[in-house]
Amino acid sequence: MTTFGDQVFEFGGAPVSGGRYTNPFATHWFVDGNSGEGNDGFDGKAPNRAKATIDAAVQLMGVGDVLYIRPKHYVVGTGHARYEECATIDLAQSDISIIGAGYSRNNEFGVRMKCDGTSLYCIDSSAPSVHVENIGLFSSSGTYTAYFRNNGATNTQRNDGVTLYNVNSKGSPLYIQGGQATRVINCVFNNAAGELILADNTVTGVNQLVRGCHFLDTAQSTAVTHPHVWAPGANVVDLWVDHCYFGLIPTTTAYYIQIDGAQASGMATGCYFNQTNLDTDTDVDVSGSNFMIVGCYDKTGLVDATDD
Amino acid sequence: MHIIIKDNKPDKFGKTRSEAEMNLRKEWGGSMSDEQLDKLKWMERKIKEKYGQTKNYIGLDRVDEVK
Repeated sequence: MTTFGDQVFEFGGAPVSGGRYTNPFATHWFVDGNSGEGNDGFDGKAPNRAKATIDAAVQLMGVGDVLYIRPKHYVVGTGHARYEECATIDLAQSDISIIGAGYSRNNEFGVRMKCDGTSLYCIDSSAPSVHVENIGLFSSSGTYTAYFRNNGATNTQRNDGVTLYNVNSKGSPLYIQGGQATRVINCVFNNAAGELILADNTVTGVNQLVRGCHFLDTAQSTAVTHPHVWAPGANVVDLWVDHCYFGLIPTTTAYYIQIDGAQASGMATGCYFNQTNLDTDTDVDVSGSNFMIVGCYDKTGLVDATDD
Repeated sequence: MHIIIKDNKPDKFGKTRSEAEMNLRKEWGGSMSDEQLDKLKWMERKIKEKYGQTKNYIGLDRVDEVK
């Protein structure tokens, strides 16, 4: 897929065509929730005039804007304090970027959000091409850690082109409600009952990529109950799961990947499944034979494609 | 007399992500590794040469695609 002589890659075969966000009026916004630093009364347009809460800044963002969030201070025993709030992104706020600052390769040790409660999500987005980086999302009693909405032909909620990079989702599933060309890269998922949901019964997921992600067991040694990658009864078309780690085989709904809509298709490449002998008929549930396991390993070695 | 408020210039913090990153490092620490920053600057240079685009914001998902 190299389309540029100097090794720049771009999905879909087109040459590198420029940055994601080219709106010349894009504004940088800043949030610092540490005591005595940010204040929602500030304008949020400079680090020394940062807002204190994420949603206060998000509500001011326009197309193509960028938000930098400073981690709250580290507390021994509990880790970095969390932003305990929910941020809502509206349809018109497309192409915004929400970036955790204070660089940390480990997304357990940077910006963290927590949002609990029925129908409350750390990020509740109805906009396309939202980009989220370097942020931990936690919800222990909510339905999802983040909800990227899409209501299909109604066209009041679109999640096409959403990208998540170095995001940690813990305590509830992360829900991408179908849509086109979503990218989930270098993320970590940790939840007993479903970790990443890619579509629902009404909105098909198309051309979705899940790469370099880590799907954890519960408490490091107990299998989760529901599929790691999940869209039961829904269509996820041309899904690519690449170079991901999958923990123990889920117990209640015993599939690593369950996407069983009538049109479902895709492949997994270069993944590891922590299972003695992966049987793609019974451990990966995709309707028909439209999902291929290519160059993946289980505990006994290379997964035989003929298992499918 | 007109007063020009320079702080309201939209791209004051940086026209590109690498410019913003360098400013961010002076304030709160950056948002990427040094290796990613090198790749990012290289991408921005290539984009500018090929398309003339000087204002953009590139996600790390694409930066990591540079080998």
